[in-house]
Amino acid sequence: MKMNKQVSYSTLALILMVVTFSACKKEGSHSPYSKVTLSFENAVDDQAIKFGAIDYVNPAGNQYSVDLLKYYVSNFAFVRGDDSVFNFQRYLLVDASDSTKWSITLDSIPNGAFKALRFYVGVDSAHNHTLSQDGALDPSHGMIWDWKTGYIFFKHEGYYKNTAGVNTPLTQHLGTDNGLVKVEIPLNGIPLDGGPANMHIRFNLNDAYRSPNKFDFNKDGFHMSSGVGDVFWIKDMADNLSRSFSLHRID
Amino acid sequence: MRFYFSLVAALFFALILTEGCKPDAPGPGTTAYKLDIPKGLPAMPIPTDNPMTEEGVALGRKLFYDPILSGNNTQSCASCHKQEFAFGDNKALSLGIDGLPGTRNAMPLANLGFQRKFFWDGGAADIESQAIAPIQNPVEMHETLPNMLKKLNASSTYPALFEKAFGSATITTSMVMRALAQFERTLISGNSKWDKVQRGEASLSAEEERGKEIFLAEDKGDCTHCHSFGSTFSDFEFRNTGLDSIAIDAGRFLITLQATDSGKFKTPTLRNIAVTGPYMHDGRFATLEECVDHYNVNFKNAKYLDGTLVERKKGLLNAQEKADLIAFLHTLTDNEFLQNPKFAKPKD
Repeated sequence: MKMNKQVSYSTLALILMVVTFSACKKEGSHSPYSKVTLSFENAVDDQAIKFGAIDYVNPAGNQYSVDLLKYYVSNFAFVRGDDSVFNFQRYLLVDASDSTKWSITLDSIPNGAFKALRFYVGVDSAHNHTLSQDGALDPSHGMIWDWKTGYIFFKHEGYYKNTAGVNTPLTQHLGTDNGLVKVEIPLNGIPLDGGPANMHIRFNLNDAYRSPNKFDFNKDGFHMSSGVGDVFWIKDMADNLSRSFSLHRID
Repeated sequence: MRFYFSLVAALFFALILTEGCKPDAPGPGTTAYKLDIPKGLPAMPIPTDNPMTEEGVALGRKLFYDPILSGNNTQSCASCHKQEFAFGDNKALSLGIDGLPGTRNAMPLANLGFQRKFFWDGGAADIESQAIAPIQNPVEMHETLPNMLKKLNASSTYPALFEKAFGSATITTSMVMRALAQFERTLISGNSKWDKVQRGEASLSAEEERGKEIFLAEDKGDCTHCHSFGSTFSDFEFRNTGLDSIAIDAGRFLITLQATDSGKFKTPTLRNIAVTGPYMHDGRFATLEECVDHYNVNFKNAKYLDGTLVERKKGLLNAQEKADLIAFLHTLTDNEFLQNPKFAKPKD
């Protein structure tokens, strides 16, 4: 009798723990949920980024350097073959100079075959009109405009050689609600089966200056998304950026 | 005994784990701050992510007066926002820590909680977001946010005060912004002579009464189209008031990039107007007489001049009427606000 009672209490305890665990996290060796780490790796065409040297040539033929490259990626969504969508309202500030700031892990994605990964470069309107936020959106990361409340979605700074061969400051600051970039990467039915997966996303900086708008830095080397001359550039740059990310590999 | 232990242990785990599932826990035992809004002013919206607490307001007040927020620790918010001038400055353009002037007049800070957009051009979307611009501006406090955080986190007093107000001793920029905004929302002015008249506690002199009628009359002052009569004394919208035929400072245009916003600036409240000179966004007028003269005869036919002024005939006010109007404006001075010890520099 006493034995039985002890067993039943232990069972109860076990059930409680299992229930509690599963309420919080859904993982395990044969879990119906997967955990995906997205790593944003930065390159200029097939070259890794070296900072400071005027080593690169954009599609318009301008030589340029990368002294700073930072951008927000946010609001990730996995689209399954059955069109169900799993959303993550998360924000990552990628700093190309610091490999500890390239990845974000998204947990509890129901298993299945996936046809697309969606995300945005930038910050959604609901979070773009106050700077009083923490984590990736902390305003001390140097990715804000404080005189005109909003986040800088994408920032590339460096130098380019102008037509006279003179090294000239290069400033590419994209932002404002009109500049939010939607990216969709086809996954072609890639299965997620309960194990962890690391998706390496390649960002090609030259693609940001390639197509459909080929930017010549002699004309478009200085944009801060704040003047009349930036209005069309914001949309054009966002258009280019939406085609600058690709799935490099999964491991 | 053993089974009770298992049960208690399991319950304990369950508790810890379910706690872990919840969103960020609310702050520790803070005390709600009760705003004292005099009769006649509207209700003040408080953002849900920055509730007013005694601890937050006290911390914001300390920060507001502390030069630690500037690059060389010489200037605080209060260096250019002085209580005696309704938290404005008596200079046309204030000088920053490097001795350089800005381009616009320091705005008075009364009744900010009733307003929606900040700065003369409305570029800041909320009070919280406004606060860090002067800290970072090279011609104002010229500090970086990372360095500001480094100094605050290394201070002997601030980490404990932030922990009391926001539940964490690791200070973030957002906490600084929220504390400053909480203090600023307490800066409510609603006890001027005018307010007392409204409450039946005082009465206007004959001159002030005539000035009030001129303020309201469409064929005289016609002030109330923009400086909404009675409560906030502004609709806080943006207008081109014809200061220059071609705007020297593009104003609201710099924010919206809409041509029609060229030379538009925020309509300031007229509360405490007698103590907040120099006037206009660039402090170009030293006296209220010059302001009244501007709207009476001197406004220029700018391309995007406000409609009220487009239709306005010049010279509607004679000397007596101008004096009466200014007498009425003086009834909007709130000495209790200007001297309220709760808003003054705190004693350490």
